Amino acid sequence: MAEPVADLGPELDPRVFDSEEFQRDPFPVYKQLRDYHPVYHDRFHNRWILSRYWDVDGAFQDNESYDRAMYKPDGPYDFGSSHVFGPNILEYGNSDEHRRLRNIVAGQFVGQKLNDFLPMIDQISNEVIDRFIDDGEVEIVSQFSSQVPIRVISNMLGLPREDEDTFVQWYQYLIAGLGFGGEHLARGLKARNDMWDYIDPMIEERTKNPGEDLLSRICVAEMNGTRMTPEEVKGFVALLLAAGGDTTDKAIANMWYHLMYTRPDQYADVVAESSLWENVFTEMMRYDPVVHAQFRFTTREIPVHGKVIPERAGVILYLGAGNRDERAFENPDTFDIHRDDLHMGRENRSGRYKDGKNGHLGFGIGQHFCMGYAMARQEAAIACKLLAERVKNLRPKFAEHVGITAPSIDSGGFRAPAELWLEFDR
Amino acid sequence: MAEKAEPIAGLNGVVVTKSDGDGSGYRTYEVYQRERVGESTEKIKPIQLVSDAYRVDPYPTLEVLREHYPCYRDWLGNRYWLTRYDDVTSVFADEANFETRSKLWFYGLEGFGRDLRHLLAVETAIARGLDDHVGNVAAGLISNMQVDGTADLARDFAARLPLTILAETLALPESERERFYALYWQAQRGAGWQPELQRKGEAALAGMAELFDPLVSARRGGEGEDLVSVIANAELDGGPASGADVAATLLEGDHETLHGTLANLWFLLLTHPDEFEKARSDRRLMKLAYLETLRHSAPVLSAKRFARHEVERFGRLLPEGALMMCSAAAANRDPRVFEDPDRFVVDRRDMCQREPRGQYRADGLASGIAFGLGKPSKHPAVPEDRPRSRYALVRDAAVAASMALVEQCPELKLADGVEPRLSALSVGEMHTCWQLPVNT
Repeated sequence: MAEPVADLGPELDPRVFDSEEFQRDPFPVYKQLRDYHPVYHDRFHNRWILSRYWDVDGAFQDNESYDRAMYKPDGPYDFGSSHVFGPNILEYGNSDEHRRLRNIVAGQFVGQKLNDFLPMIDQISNEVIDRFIDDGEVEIVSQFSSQVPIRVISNMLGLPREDEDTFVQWYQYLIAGLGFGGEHLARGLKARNDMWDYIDPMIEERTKNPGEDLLSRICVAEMNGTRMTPEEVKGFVALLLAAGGDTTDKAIANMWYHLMYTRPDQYADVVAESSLWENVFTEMMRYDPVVHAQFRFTTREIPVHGKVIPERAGVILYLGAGNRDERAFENPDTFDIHRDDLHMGRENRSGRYKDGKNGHLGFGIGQHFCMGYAMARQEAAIACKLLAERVKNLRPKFAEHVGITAPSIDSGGFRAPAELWLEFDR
Repeated sequence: MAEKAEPIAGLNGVVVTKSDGDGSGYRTYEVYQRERVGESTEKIKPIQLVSDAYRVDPYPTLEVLREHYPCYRDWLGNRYWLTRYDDVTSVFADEANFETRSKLWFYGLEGFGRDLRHLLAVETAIARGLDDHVGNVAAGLISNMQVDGTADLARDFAARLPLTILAETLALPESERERFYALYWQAQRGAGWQPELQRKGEAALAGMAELFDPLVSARRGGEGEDLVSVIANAELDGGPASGADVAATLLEGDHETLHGTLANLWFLLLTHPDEFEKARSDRRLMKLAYLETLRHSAPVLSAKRFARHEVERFGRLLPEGALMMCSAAAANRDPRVFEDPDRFVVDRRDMCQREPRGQYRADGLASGIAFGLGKPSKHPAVPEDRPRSRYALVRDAAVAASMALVEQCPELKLADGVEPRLSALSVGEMHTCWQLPVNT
């Protein structure tokens, strides 16, 4: 349980967004934004900021006014291909191309296709747990959370199991390289090249002789008679690693952190009733999700709260702030898996639910709503449930923890604990 | 995806190819740019561009950009940096593709008042104010500095001169002047990024409007030639002028080039005794020293330009609305243009010695970029039907004031033991010398 976030008053120096304290604990600043600056023009960073729940929701819903892409779909820009890790469908913005690519792959992560993967998630989680179960202790981040999702993806893609460790290594370099510049980028680019050299012949092979694996499905999936190009397939694999692997990895670590430190009293509830793992996931995605901000570009002048955001301005949508909005959730600064004002079930891209409750904003909403939402939820819940079932008396190794942080401002990345040591009995 | 690749000619003639489906046309602006200049951006982190080190001495950081990343995408500041002379001047001169936005736009107060500097009468009044008053204002300030033999050239001379001239130009009553100076400062500083200064600036703009309203009313219909009278009697489409229009006009034109260059000029002269000896010997050399100061230590480090539409330049596609940081500081020290650019040399041979006309290179030579003075004037150097350009006016005023200082204080030297330096009050503000203690 956390104390309500302090009120810092209206003074807000935009340099705070570059500070370590903001990386560590952005919530007091979020509250300032919501309460005093529902539309904040950050002249220091040349951007605007929206932070209230319904404003963030509204911007996500209104793709006509808030564009994900910097460039115009009919201009000379070769969309998506600007990303150093290959064509990236995230960058296609509001174009038809985005819808085309998204539709090709989106179906692979939900429904029956997802159910087909569930036994494999079980198996991989157990294998990962086997590696440390005799130790009596585990460092969750390196030994558990960062291991499961990437191995699942590697298996989904149908890569040989003996190459899994290599793939994990590439993944770690790629993720580090996704940050901005520095030696990480150079190493990330090398990992990218190695991975592409590795995967190129596979793409060729599976386009000719498709199997049941995800890579084959992506290679041959057709939408209106067109397939993805090999470049797009590789870009998608990179995206899968970052958006599918890294986020789920961090989500699992965050769930354990909250149950061990933020709300230890509710851990017993989850052990008693394992279906509550989905609630832990949902409340984590509200309370302190892996991704806190999304960038958009306005396509017109937008009047909000008495100010006007100009055309083609950069806007940050702080979904991490919207999730803590008192206007949407009661006691928003309390972590509570039994919360009755949050939609606890599966999310959807409309963000509207039959139970009339508000959903969390952690997956975004609308056209760019997370494609892997169902997959991430299943994977996190299964992996956590298995760990909790296989050991007894799981507890923090250290009484104090520095908490969840974002990596430093110039290395990019997602919010998670850097380390999380737990002890257990068999 | 089966259609044939279609070449697209970008606006600067670069032909790019859209992906043709098999990957062979796979070429991207960012990757293209990175490969072209060997960029991986590891040589700099964008936070360095807003760091305290940059605030004090921006030149080493800018050199990294200029030599490695000529069009640097600063993801932290959501902007692009241009640092080479030709690039900076091309964007600054390119009205078709880029625009400058007013200080009122940065305030978010575009309806507050009208900038009337485009009126010939207003321009003439400002020019007359500078020409007529610089002599006696400078003489007065220098006499004050001589009273007890020590003074601060930055505070008592460079900072006071433009504001005092402005007060004379406005024919402001003596009793209102100190208040006006404070309001003017706050209004100018508030157009930056700091929220607190912005709030004070908004209040100061309102204060200035209030200060000028009665003066405008009183002088309307009068014969006065001061700036307030000229504005009060201007025939305007949207109705007669108000105090807010005076405030807006003063806000958009500013004091920074005169104040900053004068302070930087004297900082450089006093710390380069050999160059000082040259400059003080005659008026022409003092003029060259001033021009060299504009180049070597420009007080306005950079200008912000916004892309009017998606445009391809510098191997990149710049999105509509992109903020271009045109760095005069970097461009003015571009070794492609100036030899030994970090050296302060009063009679530089590779720099244009007269005012550039219509373009940045007159006589085939580059001149220091001074954004505060606008683009090079397209009018004759001494036009018959209009005042000289702002570039010439400010230059002549600075040189006249400096020569007055040389003549009235022949023994002028830096106070013992001081080590003056240049800095900005905060990142993005004027880069100048704030303390320059001297013995007069």
